Amino acid sequence: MHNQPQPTLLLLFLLCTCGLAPKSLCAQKEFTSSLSLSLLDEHVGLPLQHLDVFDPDEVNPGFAITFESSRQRPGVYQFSRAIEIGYYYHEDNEQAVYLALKPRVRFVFADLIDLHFVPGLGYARTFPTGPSYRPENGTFTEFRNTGKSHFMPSFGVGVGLQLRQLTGVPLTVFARHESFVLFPSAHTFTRLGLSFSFQ
Amino acid sequence: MKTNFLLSTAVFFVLIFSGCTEDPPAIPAADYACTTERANTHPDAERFQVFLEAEVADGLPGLSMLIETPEGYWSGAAGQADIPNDIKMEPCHQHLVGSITKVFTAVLIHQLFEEGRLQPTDSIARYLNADLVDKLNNAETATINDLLQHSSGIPEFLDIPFSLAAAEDPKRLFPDSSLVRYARFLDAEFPAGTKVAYSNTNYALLGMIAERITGLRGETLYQNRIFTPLGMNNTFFDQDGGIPAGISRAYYDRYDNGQFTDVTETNGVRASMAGGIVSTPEDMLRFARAVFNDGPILNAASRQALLVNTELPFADPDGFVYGPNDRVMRNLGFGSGLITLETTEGTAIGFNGGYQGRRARMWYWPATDKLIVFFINASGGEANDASRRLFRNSMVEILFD
Repeated sequence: MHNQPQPTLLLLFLLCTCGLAPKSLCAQKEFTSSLSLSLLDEHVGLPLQHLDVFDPDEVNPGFAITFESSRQRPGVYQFSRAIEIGYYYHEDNEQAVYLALKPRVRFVFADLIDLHFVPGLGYARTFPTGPSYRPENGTFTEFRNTGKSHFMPSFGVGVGLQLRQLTGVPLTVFARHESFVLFPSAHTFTRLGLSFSFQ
Repeated sequence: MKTNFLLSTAVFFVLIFSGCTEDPPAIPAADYACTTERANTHPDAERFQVFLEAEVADGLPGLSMLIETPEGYWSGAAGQADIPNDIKMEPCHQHLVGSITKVFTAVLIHQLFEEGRLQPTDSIARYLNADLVDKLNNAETATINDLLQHSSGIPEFLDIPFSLAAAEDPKRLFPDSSLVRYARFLDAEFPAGTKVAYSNTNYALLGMIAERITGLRGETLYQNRIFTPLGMNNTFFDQDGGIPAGISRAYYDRYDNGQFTDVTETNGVRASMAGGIVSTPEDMLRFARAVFNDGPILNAASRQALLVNTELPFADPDGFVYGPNDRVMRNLGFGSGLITLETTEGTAIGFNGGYQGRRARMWYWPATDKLIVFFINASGGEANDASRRLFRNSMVEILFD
């Protein structure tokens, strides 16, 4: 009874969405799909913190895989639905695995550069980075911590460069700053990603 | 659809179960070697030890306790000082005393009063740099005595920005000058000198002021003025963040699920004069007797001032009233360094300390000359319940029933 049940229900919903969304969306020809791989740098802090100075020694590394689907439409404004699975490791603190819905609003300029906004809602499970102990027959012994569930609301702002215009390859490189909450802490992601589009 | 569902589920759970964990520190048993100087003379020694063993069996990693009453002396321990290296907790092991450090800092300040180098009514602004005074609410109006008795109204630095900074870099050390920066720009609790509200910032500032007046670092002040005169040979304060090899490890139930992680090296306020001293139960007894009874570090007037409560009201009157069935009923108030409790066995004076992964208690009943000191090397979840029960009931029961 220690963990809140609500984040776990959200996880089940998200897993079902993972199963349903790609199939239903890709079945329609007017939809474009993309798969992205992002490298993450996580920090505990308020939005826009940790952006001023980049210190390679203070990177808390992680990665995310995102499956995204959007309807092809003319004009600057684009909307896509996405589901993301990710992991980060924050030394001496916590590591987390998450699954999140991350719809993306993009404004594409000259089919080359985009400015995008990404709200999100996810499920995260956090674990300590050090060993854990619990009592067994009157003595504490080491074992694998079962962690804690969290809701993971997030919001991100980023820019992308669509390489299709330059190279003909359907790739987009993007950078994004995201803020998210794993109660009781506020966190940020700075991410660099590469996205591959396909029909 | 079924394939996608299974794939997503598989990826998610593979990530969950492939997470890394750091290895626990390998500490040689020799580092924990120590001896207890005094033999137990208390007739209830066996009962005390049974009590400790029962508390540990109930889910605490380790517990160390010292009792001195007119009937005799006893110190004992149970559980583990270091779980992965399988080191049994011994009465001679060191612990962080947490906020009991504030009593040491109060002693330093009273010594400076005795020497005429500081006055209780001095404005603290005289001893702080102008930039800090400008940005720290109430710093212009608070006095030294306001800091001592928590009536300054200066905001607590343990707020969200500090918590985020500490979580971002758990091994970062926060000296007092750094800690008080987290209180800048926060609203004052109340006008200085009108109410009482506990704030760690008060004692971080007192530490800075003591250093400024003497020109010496806090670690030197404690050593020369308290540790050495009292023969506290196993007590120290390292403002550079050193952790003694033989200190009991600190365990924290981060997720409130009965699962503890080692947080010994991840507490940055151990460099603060509001909470950074490391000691043993035996050394704490020396200090307690010097403060509560008689000793070379303070004159009688200063000892009295430490415990005479301010008559100012609490800003949060309900915050220090405990349960109706608790043996410790309420906090009667703050003196210029000590807290007075109302208990079912009369008033007790002393202080509590708490860190992530640690709890420390030092309480004395002057009417019956009974003194107890104990350390728990755990916090969070049910460990908090246990330490609360020990403080509010068990320590009175074990001494008086």
